[in-house]
Amino acid sequence: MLEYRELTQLLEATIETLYMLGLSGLLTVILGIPLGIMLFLTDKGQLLENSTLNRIIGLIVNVFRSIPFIILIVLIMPLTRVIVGTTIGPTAATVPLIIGATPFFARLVETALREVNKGVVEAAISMGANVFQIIWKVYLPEALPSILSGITVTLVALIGYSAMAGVVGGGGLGNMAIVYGYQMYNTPVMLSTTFVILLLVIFIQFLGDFLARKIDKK
Amino acid sequence: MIKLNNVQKIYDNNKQRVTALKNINLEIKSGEIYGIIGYSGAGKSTLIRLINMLENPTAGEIWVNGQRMDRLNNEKLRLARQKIGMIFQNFNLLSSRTVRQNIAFPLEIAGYPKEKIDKRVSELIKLVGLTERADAYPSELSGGQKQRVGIARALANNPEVLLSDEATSALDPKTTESILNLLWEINRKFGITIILITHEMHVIKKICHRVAVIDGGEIVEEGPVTEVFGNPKKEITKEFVKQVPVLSGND
Repeated sequence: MLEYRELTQLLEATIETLYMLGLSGLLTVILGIPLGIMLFLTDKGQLLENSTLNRIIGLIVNVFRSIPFIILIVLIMPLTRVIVGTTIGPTAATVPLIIGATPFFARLVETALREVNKGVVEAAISMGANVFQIIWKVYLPEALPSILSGITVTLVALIGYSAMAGVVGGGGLGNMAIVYGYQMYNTPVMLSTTFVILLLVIFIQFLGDFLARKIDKK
Repeated sequence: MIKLNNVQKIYDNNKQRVTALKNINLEIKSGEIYGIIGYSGAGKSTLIRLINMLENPTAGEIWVNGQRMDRLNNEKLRLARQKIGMIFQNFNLLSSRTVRQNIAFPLEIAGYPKEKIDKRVSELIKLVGLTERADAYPSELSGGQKQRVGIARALANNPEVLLSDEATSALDPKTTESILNLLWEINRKFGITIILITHEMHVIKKICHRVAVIDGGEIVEEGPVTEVFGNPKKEITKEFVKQVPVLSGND
């Protein structure tokens, strides 16, 4: 069983993980949606077709998606230091988390937009809608259930990423599992941190599925 | 009202050139219901999309209400489109919006204040007979009800022209009847010019004043419905004439 000290530590680590998750999740969504929209709209045959811009954004997204996360953390440490002032702790960990998750989420947004019925977009054009109105009133509301599923997938991925960030001193449940559980041969700590992570994943997935189903009127 | 002068449309993919329309000349009078009939691939869908510039002509002139559509800048084209309603075979309603919100959509686009939108939407819902279903989502409606929403939406901005792209092709015969009756009523009540494309002879016979038969990207016969089909000259027109008894069995 866990000692009292370990229990408070577990609570602290959980709060740290939730903090990392909340902050990086929020910024990933804020950055990823416009990026996904740009990826989609600049593609061939779309409203803002621009093959040069599309290729540039696509390349950046693919590069960042290809770098294994654990390496990304180390690679962008100088940037993290510039932004946060340190490379250790949960706030510092959000920088690689955001950079790692945004391209991933942007691709999910792009896919969600691609699924929107072209006929509905054509109807909006026939009514004299401008590009902004088509994005705001057609693409986003019509794709919202898929985007929400994308947010769920991204948050679950971020839990995994945040655990990895723990390895290099990011704090949170991953950090606790590695430093106090694995490295100190403390099996109860190892298991209980894993269990809390598991609960988090199940809860987020459940909530995400529930909301997506609720807003989907198709 | 609507005039197409020597309109041509060529699709130029890297590999091949496809001539969808060649040398189309058409004049549609104000208040008329004008039918364009042809088999799929004849170019009728391209033709109707040229009128509101969902497609650009390769050559020729497109006039709607004294405006040269193919010469308008983006802003002017958007304003012109707000005065041209369009309905579709697959309805193309927003699945995330209720009946009421779908009908409000073009009014939001045009930037009307909320009170005005609400008032107009209520009128339209009544006009198309969907008062009971105002807060339903499209997925909860039948095909005929969906097309009624489509019609209400297309009429929201008080357009002078209504384009109908195979609007009854996805509906059963009985529902087709009721939608055609609604279009007929709208034409008479508001004097809206209706241009419809179809492959069903029955639709032409039922509500159109004049008709153009299109084949291989060309208009092969044109004139008042009774004349064109009373005395068909071209083989394709004769084929359409033969369709009638089969498709209008419940007349």
